[in-house]
Amino acid sequence: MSVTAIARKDFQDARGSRALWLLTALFVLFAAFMVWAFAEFEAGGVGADPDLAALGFFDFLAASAALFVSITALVVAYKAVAGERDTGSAKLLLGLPHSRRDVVIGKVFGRSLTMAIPVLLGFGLAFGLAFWLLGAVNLVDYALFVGVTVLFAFAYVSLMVAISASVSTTSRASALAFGAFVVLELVWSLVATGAVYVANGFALPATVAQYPEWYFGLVSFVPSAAYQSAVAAVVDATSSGGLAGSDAIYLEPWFGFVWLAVWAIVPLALAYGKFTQADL
Amino acid sequence: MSSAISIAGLTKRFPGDVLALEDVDLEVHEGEIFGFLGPNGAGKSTTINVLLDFVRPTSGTVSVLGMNPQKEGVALRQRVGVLPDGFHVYDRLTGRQHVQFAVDSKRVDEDVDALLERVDILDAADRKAGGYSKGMKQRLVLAMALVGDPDILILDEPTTGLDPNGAREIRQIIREEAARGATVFFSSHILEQVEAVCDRVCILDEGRVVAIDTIENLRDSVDADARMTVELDAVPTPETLDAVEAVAGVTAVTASDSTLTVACDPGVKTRVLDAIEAQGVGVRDFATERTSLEDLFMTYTNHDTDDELTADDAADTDRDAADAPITDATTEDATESDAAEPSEVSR
Repeated sequence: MSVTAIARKDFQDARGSRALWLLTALFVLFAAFMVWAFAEFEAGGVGADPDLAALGFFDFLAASAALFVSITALVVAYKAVAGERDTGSAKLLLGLPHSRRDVVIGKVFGRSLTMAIPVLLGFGLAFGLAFWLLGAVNLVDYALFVGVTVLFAFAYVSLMVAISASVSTTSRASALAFGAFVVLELVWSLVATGAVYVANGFALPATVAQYPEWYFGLVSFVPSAAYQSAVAAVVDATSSGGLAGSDAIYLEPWFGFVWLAVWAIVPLALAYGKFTQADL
Repeated sequence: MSSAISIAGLTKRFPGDVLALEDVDLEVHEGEIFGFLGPNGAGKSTTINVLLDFVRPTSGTVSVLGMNPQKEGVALRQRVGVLPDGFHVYDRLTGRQHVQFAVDSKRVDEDVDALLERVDILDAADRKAGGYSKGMKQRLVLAMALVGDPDILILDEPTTGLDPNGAREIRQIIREEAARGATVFFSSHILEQVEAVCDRVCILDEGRVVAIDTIENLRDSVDADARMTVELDAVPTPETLDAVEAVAGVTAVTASDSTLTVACDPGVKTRVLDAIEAQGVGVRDFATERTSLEDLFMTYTNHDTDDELTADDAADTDRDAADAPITDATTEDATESDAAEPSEVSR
């Protein structure tokens, strides 16, 4: 009940924000553009790209949605808790009979709901476009893909709320959120390659096929990679999410769901531990 | 009488070795209106923040309605109405949505419009609270505090941002709530707000309790000085001031243009007037009044109600430390201050 009240309040608050509607418009444009781009290049247009054509439709969408969703989640959620502490509205919130645990969980749901709007609206409209441009798109697969995307958004929002709950000011929250984004989305593969480089005696194996198994595990551990694995696991696509010739469980496509769950739960639990001890 | 609020040995030290509260003991009885007084930075908000579990005490015990805020915070706040210090409303939510949120949070059945009407902002109910004036925000949060007929109202500076009329309306609501049986605990740095409604007051200064009593008793215990204002027909010379101060029973003299303010025993009024006229200065008018609350307050706290301590000391500590930034070095025992000489008096 407490969680619902907080989530509803938070959602109402976000609904009044121009930024959310701008984001929704952007997402609609983005999804439409991606569908068009796929249709254009895949359909063997003038600029047909064999690499793109080799990717499945959903892999293509997921790869680009990962970046867009993660940026959006950052914007939507990094102020969730720290912003309220910074301004002093946290005193209204916690002057009411809410526990700090309910605040953190309510925030995750409120902001996730806020995120779900642009995702659902964007991909909803894109479906019409896809149907028109590509002829036949499997509705069940498409719905599953959108569902996994919402799940990914949820995990990312949870991570950002966790960051927000672990600090007392908006500026620290934004620095930390941006830092996490850069590490996870932009430089992670470099980190993984660096680890291989060190483990291999300060030299890289000659071909990617010779990289150790754990390298692929490390690469698939970050939220956006986990999301793409999860998409591959649910969508009946021809492309592979797993690594050929490997039987490591963490390289199974479905393991992406496990990683998403880890990202949704572990940072939040740690941040809650810190928040619950803090002076407002 | 049982205790609504019981504080024993409460000490709060913020990071950076800022001592906000030192060994505070306090009992608030059920059903009373209790005023919590002190200059800005005295530690009032820190105390209230501990009662609400916004801030964790360094040592000491706190009990509200028999519950420990640190352990039973949610159950406790179900029965408490809060108007916190330094709050911020949700800019994009309307007034009605704010009160509805409080109603949903407390899981009670309550007429939101009636509450908004009671604090006199019903006509602004569907506007976004971000556009409210400071006074309207104050009223809005008071309405949220009243949701669910709480057993205790904890109000931190409830009249901030309100005009005298608004402050009177708030006092009226406080009286109504007390009449219903609620305990009201409210803080203020303005004495007149407190005198008008409180059964008892506590004066806090630099993190310590310096007095707890009824206002009448406090007044009696300080002194029986009268304050006399004399309108002259000319600006007084230093000689005139000396002559007045020389009158037995006069404790202080202040001049502002052609107005003299004289603190003295009530029995020496005519001798003061005689002394002035003996200097060849004409008296146009004069009036006497009892020891003002301001004087009383200053006697206990020994400094002006304008706060000069807040900014620098707290700059490098957590935000709420700004409420009561007292370093050990600057702490002094206010009870040792000289009661006979209010610090404001000058010549």
